[in-house]
Amino acid sequence: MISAIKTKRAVGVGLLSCMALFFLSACGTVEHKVNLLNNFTPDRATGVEVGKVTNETGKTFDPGVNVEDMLRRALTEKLSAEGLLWSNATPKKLVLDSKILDYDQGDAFKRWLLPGWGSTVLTIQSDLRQDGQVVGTVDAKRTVSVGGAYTIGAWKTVFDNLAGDVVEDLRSKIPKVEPKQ
Amino acid sequence: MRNRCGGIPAAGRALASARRGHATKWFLATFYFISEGVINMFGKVPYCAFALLFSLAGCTTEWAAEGSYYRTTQFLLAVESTPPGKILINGSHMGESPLSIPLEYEREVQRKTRKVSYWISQPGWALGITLLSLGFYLPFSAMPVDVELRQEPQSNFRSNQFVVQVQADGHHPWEDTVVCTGQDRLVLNPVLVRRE
Repeated sequence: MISAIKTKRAVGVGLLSCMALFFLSACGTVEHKVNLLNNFTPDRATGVEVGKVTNETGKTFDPGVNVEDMLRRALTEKLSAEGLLWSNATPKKLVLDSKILDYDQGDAFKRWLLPGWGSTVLTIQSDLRQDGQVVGTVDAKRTVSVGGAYTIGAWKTVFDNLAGDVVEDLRSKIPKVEPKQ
Repeated sequence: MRNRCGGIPAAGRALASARRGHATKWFLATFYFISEGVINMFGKVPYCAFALLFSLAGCTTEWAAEGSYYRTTQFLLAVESTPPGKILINGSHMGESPLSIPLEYEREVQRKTRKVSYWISQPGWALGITLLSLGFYLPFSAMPVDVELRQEPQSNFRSNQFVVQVQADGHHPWEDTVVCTGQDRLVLNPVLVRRE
């Protein structure tokens, strides 16, 4: 009898925690990688400039949604926050040209109603160039496919999150300049 | 010891036998244990409904083409002429042979997507949530909720023709057109003909 109550309680706790998790959390895929060609190693004092951003999705979006601008702004902000944004003071420059391959705005209510329905998707592919030559490529993807109230606005924040992934990858390849003593 | 709550001793036996080793046994034992719990709490009808949902939901959908784009591709052209001379690519001076020149062109890449369950896209996450929710997530976990992307290179290219010229004093200029179709490296060994 006691073990039956314990089982019921355990299942109840599981059910409640699962429901809470579904309501509160945002779940999706995060994939990102940077690939430097021909053993290219960036210099210590290398800055990254956000180059061309093109929409290769073949889709047109709402008038208020300028995907190229949103990605450019997100990348610039994240690069700046990480101290990687190119400026005149930085001797070496890498240019990041990006293509938006896939973007779906999704719908928070739909994915709360049925996971997978109304997913927000953003996929990009970027080329890193130094002096006009491709020295590396970046591939990144983010999806928000399950979630509740916390996923409202994911159509916008997905750009910031993906830009964060790209900059994190770049940071891992470009050594940090140590401050002078 | 006999337990009055039906099924628990059987589940216990299954768990005990699973401790002896195999991952599949562990999975089946866990599944059996969870099933017993759900049946005890909700009865057999809801459990059967869950099981039906689990089997009908499937884990993936078919791959669907989502358009294509052109991806920058790089290849290395090595020119080792006899005698050594000036190398021009599409009319631009690149240097003196022997020389290796990285060239760029574009290759079409087809994008395909399909919907998959988290067991395929994020198995660790799916297992974690299943365990955290004490199995309640399991019947829903087979739903194809995530998007998987596949990029397939095609045999269509853009800007993939390069006119290579080699010029040396006292020799006729040598010229050839290189067409890149996915190779990583190409070596040219032109022999220039001496002028009369």
